[in-house]
Amino acid sequence: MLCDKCKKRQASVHIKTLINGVYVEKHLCSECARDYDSELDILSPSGIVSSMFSTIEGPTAKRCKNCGTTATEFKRSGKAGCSECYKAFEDTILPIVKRVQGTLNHVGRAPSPVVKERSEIDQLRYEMEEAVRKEDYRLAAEIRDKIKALEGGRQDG
Amino acid sequence: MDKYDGIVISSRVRLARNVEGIPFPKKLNDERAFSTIMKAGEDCAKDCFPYKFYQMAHLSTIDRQAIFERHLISRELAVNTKNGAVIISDSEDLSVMINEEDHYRIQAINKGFDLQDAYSRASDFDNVLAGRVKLAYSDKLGYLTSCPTNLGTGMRASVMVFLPALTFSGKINSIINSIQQLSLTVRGVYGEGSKAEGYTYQISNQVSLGQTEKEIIDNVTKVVDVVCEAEIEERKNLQSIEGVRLTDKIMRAYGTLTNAYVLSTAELLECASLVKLGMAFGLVRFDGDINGLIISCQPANLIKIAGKNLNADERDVFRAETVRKVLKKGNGGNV
Repeated sequence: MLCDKCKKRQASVHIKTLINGVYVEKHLCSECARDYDSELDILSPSGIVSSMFSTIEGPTAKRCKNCGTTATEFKRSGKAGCSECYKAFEDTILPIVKRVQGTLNHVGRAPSPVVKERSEIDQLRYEMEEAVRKEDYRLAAEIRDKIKALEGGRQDG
Repeated sequence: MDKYDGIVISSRVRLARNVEGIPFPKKLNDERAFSTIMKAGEDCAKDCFPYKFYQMAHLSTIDRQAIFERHLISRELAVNTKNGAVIISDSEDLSVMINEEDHYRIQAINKGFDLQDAYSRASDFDNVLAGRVKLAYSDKLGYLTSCPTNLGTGMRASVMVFLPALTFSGKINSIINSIQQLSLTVRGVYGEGSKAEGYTYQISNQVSLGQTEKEIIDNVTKVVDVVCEAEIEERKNLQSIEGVRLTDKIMRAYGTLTNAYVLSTAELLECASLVKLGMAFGLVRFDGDINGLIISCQPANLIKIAGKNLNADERDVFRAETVRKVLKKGNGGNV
């Protein structure tokens, strides 16, 4: 079998990876395999993504306004720079997501924020730690006294 | 006693979460943003459970390695001394990696076959986190993550299984193949790219988008069920084919662990795996936690137990001593 890359030498490196039930195979000669080290990275999930990017034509001059990641960078690493990249490179990224995940429709849960209420003492302890962290020891001491008073009150009662 | 005691080692659920608008860790150079992320994470822990908070930069190489060996952080986080941190619950059943590939990786673990329990604990933390920061989320793609392979639920549900019989018989290869056809993956003990040392594998979902969290848990659970049944069947075959030779192999391994004065990590793992099989067959009795013993005897954890630095040769001696003591204490015995 001839090498997929140079089409001259015999292929001696065979890479097979499974993506959503479909095998993707690559056959390279040892030289092309050495030159295309990154393609050997195909075994890692991000490698799968970046190798897919290399087969897709897309606009390369696009840049995410939020984090500065360029489409080329994105193609090379297979990783987004920030949550905004998914909007900035939508045209490029969605086909990839489709191939990696098999779908573009999230059906899992959405964030469901829970705000825990702290007891008065817990809240004061928290504020005291914050004060210590900010090296505001006067404030920390004041809060400590409040906590003591509350605890004392509780014990007396 | 669980149905698959002696096969299932642990269940784990990981949720990947990021703060909207703040660049992902690899792209982040703003100190203030880092501390915002860390502080929000720690504030949530304060609301949830007793914990320890560690910044990688403040830990020694041995400490970082020890936490990694205990499966509480990834290798990537262990070497991220720039901005990596971790929150570990005092019971070590939940850890939150901060600034790994994503801002937060919440992972809950239990020692049985219960992904639902792990999910609900990870989820509790996730909800508190969502109450403190605006999480990156889109209706279409779900939770937005650094790598597109984690989009959607941001969830990986994995079960660690001990499959010696399927490994000996070679049937594990066709099983791994079939599992991959179902969009699940099989990895080694220490995750991506690691070897299946000690006949131990992690089975987890590959796809995180387009399925609900429950569907992912159900799928992984169903597949693990089938694999465990196959292992049980194969253990019976192994016993009937190998008979006394297998018993001999197991008891020799037990003999090594209870008598050796020099023990490498590899030899411990090999012998302990056979002893685990012997425990399942009722040949060896050990009331302690043998999987815990294997972890305690990994290089960095061993150094922590010794309380002083040991070179590789010294570790092998100390490892043998530790194993002898623990097996003796755990009522280990030839039944």
